[in-house]
Amino acid sequence: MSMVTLSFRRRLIIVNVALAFLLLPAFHFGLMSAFNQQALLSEQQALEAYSYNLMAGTDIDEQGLLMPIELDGPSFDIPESGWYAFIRSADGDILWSSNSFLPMQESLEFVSSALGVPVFTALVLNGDSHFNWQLKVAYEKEQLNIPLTFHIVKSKDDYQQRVAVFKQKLWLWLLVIATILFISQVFWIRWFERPLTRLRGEIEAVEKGKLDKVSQRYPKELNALNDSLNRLILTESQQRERYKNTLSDLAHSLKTPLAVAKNDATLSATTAEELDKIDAIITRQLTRASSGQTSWQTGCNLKPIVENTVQGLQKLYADKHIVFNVQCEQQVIFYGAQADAFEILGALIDNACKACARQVNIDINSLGANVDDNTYGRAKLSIQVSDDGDGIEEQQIGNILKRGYRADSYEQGHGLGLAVVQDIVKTYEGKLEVCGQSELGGAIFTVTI
Amino acid sequence: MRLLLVEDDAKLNAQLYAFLNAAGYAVDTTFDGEEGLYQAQEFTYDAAIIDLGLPKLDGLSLIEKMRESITIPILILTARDKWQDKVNGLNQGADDYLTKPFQKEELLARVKALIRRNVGQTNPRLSFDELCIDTNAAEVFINQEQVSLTAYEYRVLEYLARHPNKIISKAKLTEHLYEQDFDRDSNVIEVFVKRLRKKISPEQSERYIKTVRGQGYKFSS
Repeated sequence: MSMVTLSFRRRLIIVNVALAFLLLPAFHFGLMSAFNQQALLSEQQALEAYSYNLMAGTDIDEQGLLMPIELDGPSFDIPESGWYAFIRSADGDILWSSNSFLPMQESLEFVSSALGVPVFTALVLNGDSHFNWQLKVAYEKEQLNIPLTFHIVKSKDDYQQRVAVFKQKLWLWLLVIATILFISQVFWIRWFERPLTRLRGEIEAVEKGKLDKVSQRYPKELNALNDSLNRLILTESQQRERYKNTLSDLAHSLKTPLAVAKNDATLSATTAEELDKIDAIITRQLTRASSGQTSWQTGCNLKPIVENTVQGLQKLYADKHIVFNVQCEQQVIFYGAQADAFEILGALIDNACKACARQVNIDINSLGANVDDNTYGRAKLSIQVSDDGDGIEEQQIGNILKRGYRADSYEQGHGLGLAVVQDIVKTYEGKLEVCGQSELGGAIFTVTI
Repeated sequence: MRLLLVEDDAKLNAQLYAFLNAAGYAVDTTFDGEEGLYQAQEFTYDAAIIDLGLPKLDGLSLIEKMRESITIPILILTARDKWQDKVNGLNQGADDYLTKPFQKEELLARVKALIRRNVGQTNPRLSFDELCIDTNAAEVFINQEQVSLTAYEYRVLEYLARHPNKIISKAKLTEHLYEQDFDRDSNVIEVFVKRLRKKISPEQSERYIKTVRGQGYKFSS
């Protein structure tokens, strides 16, 4: 079972969304609890203060309770103001009530309390919920202790309204905070991702051959990765170079003795033929072994390569006075080894020089990248070489790319040139096509790579 | 014609010396780049054959240094068969490129073509009225009848014929006919010229090779 690997961005978004869903309600719950507690305490303290005020104005004489005409307080004298005061006897009978209390049919359900112990409870009055603060105290009269319970009752409306307002404001602010968090997270994720995005861009540039290594301008957490990556690129490049040099040395050390053996006067025709085969095998296998693309290869511009090749071939074919017509943009990048570019262009143009009467045309064009191909997003190229020679007969086209087959009658070479080009082109997953007749009259060779 | 051969492989060097010598060329052989450069700067050659993988001074550097003052045709003879090496060699100053292993006949043909091209002649057959020199086969004809010449007589005739209407001094002629270590005697040149005149124009001694007093010889038809 394969595990789904989430991108960094998704991971960060999931974590942040989960945190928002968990933290914001917890934050809300915590704040609401604290506010509730504080509001209740505040209510309790207010009721307590009024109760002491009531107790201070209350006295007992022979006629009973002595109460002040007006009570200090917000609305004790306004009927059903929501503020009520009661004094109950030890039996629970209401001895006195504030003017704001209008007698009602149902009885009030007060809780009993011990002497001197304040009690803060809820009370239903006229069907509405109220806060009730009560304290039982003893008044001394004629050496008797008369217990009286003082009640201050307040409607919860005010408290509930405050809580509702606070709750509304809290939600609003939490929403604002969540929005700010979300926006800041978008920026934060982008800021966090920036080095990774840059690194990805640089790796792509290395793959496309635009850079030869990844830079070191990254957070230290990525430095180890960068170093490893650069070491890998360098090692791969050095190994490739060593491999190429070793193969080149091998070719050199084999070919000089072959030259001596081949020019030995006592050499039989059969042996000479076998030596030719050995030479052809060495040439072909070494070319195949040392050519091909890698994902870390720096590209090379074909423009100077084709110009140098043409310049060199002009010397080789000086007697033919060939007119070279080169069409190549300033920057046409071949994502492969420079030696392979020289090999393809050299063999194709040399072939055309041998076959032509006076003119050789070379057209090199960039075709753009095809994402479906294994080209690391690199642009493909088309290289067309045509000449004004006699062309190639249809029946010879199939054979011309075979190793050792020669459709021409030139004196030099082993008929390997096109086969070698074919091998190199294949290693780059490209295509070599031959058309027997070009506009100039001769053959046309097209490499798409 | 005098050639400079710079090849570090002793066997191949000896083989090429023998072959080119037998083909009628005076050949100076060297085995490293520094010696090759010294020879090229000190003596006059008609062409040079240079290997690329040379000790002391590599072939490409040798060609680059030679090209600072020397214009003789240069053929690269090397095991490096990559087009990149070929193009580098040619653009560095070489005129032709032959990869090992090679057919010595092909090497000879290319050397001859280079020398011909260098003096502005593209046809291997040099014709002057009834006189015809086949430089490929090293054969001379008068009125289509072959004339028998010794190797040195042929060398004198070919060199003079490749530089028609130019005064060639005996010293220069000697330089192009003999190898470096050869004991030179200018009287020998006079003897060769005298014999040549007899063979190619017995009735009119200075028909082709004229003596320019105090300066040398001039070939004209």
